[in-house]
Amino acid sequence: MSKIDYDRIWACGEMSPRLQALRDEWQDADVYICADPERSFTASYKETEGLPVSLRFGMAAAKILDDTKLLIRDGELIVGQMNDKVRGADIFTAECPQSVLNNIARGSFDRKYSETSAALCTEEDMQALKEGAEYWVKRVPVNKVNAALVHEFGPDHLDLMQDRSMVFEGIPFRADPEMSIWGRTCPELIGRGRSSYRFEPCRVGLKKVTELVQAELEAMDTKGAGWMKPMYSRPTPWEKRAMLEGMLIACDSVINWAHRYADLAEEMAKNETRPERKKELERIASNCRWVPENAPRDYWEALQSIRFMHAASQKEKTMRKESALNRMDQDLYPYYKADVEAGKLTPEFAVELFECFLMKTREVEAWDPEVAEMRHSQGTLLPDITICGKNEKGEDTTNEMSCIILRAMATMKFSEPTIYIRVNDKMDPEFLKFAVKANMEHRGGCPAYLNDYLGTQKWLDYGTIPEAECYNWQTSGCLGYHLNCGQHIGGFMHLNLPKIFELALHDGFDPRMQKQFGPHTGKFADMKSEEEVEEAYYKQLDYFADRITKDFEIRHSLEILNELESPLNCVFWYDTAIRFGMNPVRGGTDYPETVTMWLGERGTTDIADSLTSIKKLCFDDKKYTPAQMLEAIDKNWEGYEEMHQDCLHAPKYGNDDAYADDIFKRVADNNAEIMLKRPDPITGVKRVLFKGAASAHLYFGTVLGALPNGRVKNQPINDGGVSAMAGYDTNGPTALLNSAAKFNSYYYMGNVLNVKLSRENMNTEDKLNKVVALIQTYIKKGGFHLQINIHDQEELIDARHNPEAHKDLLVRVGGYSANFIDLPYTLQDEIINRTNHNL
Amino acid sequence: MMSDKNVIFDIQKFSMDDGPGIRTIVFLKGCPLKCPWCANPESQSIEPEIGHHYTLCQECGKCAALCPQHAITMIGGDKKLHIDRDKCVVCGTCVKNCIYRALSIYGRVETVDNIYEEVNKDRDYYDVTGGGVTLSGGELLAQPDFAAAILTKCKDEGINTCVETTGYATPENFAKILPYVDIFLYDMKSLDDAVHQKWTGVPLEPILRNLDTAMASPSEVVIRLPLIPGVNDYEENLFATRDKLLELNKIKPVRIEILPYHNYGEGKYVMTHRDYTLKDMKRHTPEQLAAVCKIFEDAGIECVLHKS
Repeated sequence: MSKIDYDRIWACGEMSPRLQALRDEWQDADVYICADPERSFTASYKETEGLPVSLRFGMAAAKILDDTKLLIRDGELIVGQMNDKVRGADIFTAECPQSVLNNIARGSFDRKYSETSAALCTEEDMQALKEGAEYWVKRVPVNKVNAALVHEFGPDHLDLMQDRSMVFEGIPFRADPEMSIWGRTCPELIGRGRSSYRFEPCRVGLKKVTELVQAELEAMDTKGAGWMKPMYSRPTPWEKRAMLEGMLIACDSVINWAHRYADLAEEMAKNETRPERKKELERIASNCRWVPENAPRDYWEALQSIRFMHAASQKEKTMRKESALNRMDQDLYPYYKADVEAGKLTPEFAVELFECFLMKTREVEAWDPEVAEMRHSQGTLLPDITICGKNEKGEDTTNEMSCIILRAMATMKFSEPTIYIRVNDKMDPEFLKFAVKANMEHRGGCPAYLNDYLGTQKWLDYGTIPEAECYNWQTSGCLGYHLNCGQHIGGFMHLNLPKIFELALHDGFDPRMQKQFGPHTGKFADMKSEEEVEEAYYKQLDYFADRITKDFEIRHSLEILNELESPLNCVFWYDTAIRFGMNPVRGGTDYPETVTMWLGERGTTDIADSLTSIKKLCFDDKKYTPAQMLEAIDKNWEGYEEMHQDCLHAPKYGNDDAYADDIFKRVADNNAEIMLKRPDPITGVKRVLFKGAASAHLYFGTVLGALPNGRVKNQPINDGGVSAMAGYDTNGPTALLNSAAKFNSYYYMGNVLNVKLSRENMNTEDKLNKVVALIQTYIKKGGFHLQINIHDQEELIDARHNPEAHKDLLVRVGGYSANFIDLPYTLQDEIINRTNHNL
Repeated sequence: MMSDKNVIFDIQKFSMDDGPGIRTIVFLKGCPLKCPWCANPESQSIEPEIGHHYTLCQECGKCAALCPQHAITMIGGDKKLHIDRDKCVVCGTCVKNCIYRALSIYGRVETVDNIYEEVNKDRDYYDVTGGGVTLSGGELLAQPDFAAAILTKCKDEGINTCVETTGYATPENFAKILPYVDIFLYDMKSLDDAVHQKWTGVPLEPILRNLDTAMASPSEVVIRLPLIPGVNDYEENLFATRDKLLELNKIKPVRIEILPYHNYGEGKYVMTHRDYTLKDMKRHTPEQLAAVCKIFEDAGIECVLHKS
């Protein structure tokens, strides 16, 4: 069955009554904040004082699973709920107690920036959270990271943090320890669940993993731990034993959780009067009895096993439950193929089962602490699925499962997961057409199209990773990429480039904080050419790129020591974790170069367009002097309406116009060169740059004054990647793609280009083929990541004013999809204003 | 040597509807026909003219105050201002001084090289999709030397050429472009000369004569029928068109494309201060359009319905 039956899979587009009912119930369900994990987690910690963090965390995570209430919804075929609510957000307060207390003081778990309805929380749960948070808030230890940073760079270093000037942006960069999130508050005390899902333990079954761990423990007993030279690169024997014991606890807890589901399904089957449903429940019981403990025997069991393991990795995360699902078409295809060939499974039922799986994945809710709210929309968990891609033999691995995944996603129209396609020259154009059709039906910028060649080449160029492994890469997070053989943990450090540019325009002085942060690089008013302005910016960037690298050395060293002690993570990476006796993120991996520093940046478009305005208006046309322009932006254009309009209408990147594009390309390439000048301070290898595209661009904007591209004070900067300034790419998608392809993607991962097409652009077979050609051409020209949004402006405007009628409307914001009505109003307006390429 | 004014009013990328593949359309300004359903009213006169983007206008009155000809009056209401087109000499003072970019000039003189450079930017997309350049208008044959020069340059550089034409020109002028056209998108509005004259203001005969010339050439010919309610959508005309297509198909394969009437251009009538006379015209229903297509399909003629 090597030939894909596109028509048959495409024909599975009608949602079954089962899925319709499940989806409707979910759509209408209230979001609850559930405090059960809080009770389990804190209770466990109170009992385990003094034990190694890995063991403590493992025991607490296991207790969360043991105590989890179960729910099997009527009609569902894949089970494994976060809690007993259709939409319940599990939280425990240890990592951000202050933020929880702030919400409780406000009286609700509202969604501050999205202005949509607050999540509900029972009085009882509210009380439990309050008690837990009050316990943890007293235990917030001295912030060791900041203490070390102040020791090295002086107290002013903290001014660069996100909660001050925001030259550095990202999860860990907080001057105020109370504002820390995601476990940075007290890592040495509680450890941190940051397991990354992998199919591998599902494939072999947890029983097998348990056996391997036990064998290792036995070897320790009979042969000793062998703690020899070089001693300090190895774990101490007790650390290793604690890790191995943690793995056993983790395996047991997931197996027990599955068995409890088996019990529940059996009981429900006994009382079930509808014969069809009775049969289904019996099958569910048998699935849960078998996986993830054992290796799956068929497609249904494989999906169920993935569900348990992926959900378990989400369960142990405090707030955000981010975990990628990886290359599911490759993982599932052997089971699918065998079942279909044996006549046990039809493609139609395979689609329905996958839809059930997507439903479960989408049901997972999360609640973000207030400081994180603006970075991403609530409930965005990034369970990315990657499909297709060449293997080391040069063959495209697209299979029928790739189509099934796309078909199911287009039918269910969920905002997540995003499906990433590794587009390559061996790919059947018929498959891409199938994908574009799914894109059109789904509407929310899903699937996304990636350059398979570039994605692989970046890994090959390390020169130290076996070729076959380099071909086995997938996406994770918002526009991160990792190899299946190596965990990716970076991707949370960003330079706020427009902020650095603003400093350059002010000789290193921050007008907002009224403080000199950067070096003196000259007064804008005295500058005689655009190149001089650019040069000043590069000097500022060089200074801050150096500083963030040194910051990372300290920060990451302390994190390696203190964090990421999830034994479940060792289960996912059992193949190397057991051998090294270490968690992969602490060095238990064959390829530490994959655990390297990812330096993110955003805002190249804003800087390039600003420089273009300066070149055009100050130096070419000489309509204004630099002094006048500086005055205008410092006054946020007040009294400078004409200059403001001139700046808005100056040439802009994204129109295939060399005047603007040449500056964009130069700034982008120089940015890369400056940031890559220093190697990763931990491993010494070349580090990875990425243009993370989560909606942090909103956040970045809040610390910025007006910019010469016409942007006004505090407005969002442009969204991530290589997209053009919203509303100013007026020359159509080919021009935008041409502009973007001029830039060298090679040094970056995650440089997304958002293109908006209307339905009219693809309403015939012929036009679909043209859209396929558009994708192929962009990839061929060296573009890395393309996303196509499909909708019309009227629809969005209506959704802005009548959100109740547009609950299903999805949009693509930066690197992920979101429900349009859940977005902050500023972002809604931005998307409405984005050019609609409807010709 | 060229006597034309070399005026275009737009270059549009990523066109999917005017010829095969992904194309770039170059719109030449000026048209001898006066069809009231015209979707590009700014294309009709070959002279440059001021367009007023009333939605962007802030009614600041700067343009009226600065106009050397005193041609602009602020009138308020939806239209916001009025331009006396008889007084206006298109000097551009108002355009230059409108900080909101609510005023623009339709029509610019352009060189063949500049046009080619712009067209050539999307060559990668033409290569994969079989696309190229399409000359449209206005009526490109109103500037035959200019049109021929653009087509020659593109064809010489290996870019597929297509023209969207009314076919209304002298045989001499038609012959100028003929060797450089790969595909004709040839309008056939009505086969009744009286009807044709009444609605378009020009006779049918030169159009049919040039069509014969195109049919005798190696170029591909596609017939386009802009389907206008009450003008040419009655059976008699559709049957006549069908019979004409059958006749043409004896020479070489010719398909018909039905372009349903739409009023997307109405805003541009306001912007150029023209009256839109078809305000009450109702667009065809999908059923009506299907019935029109069926007339051609039943006769074995390839028929493509454009979606509007």
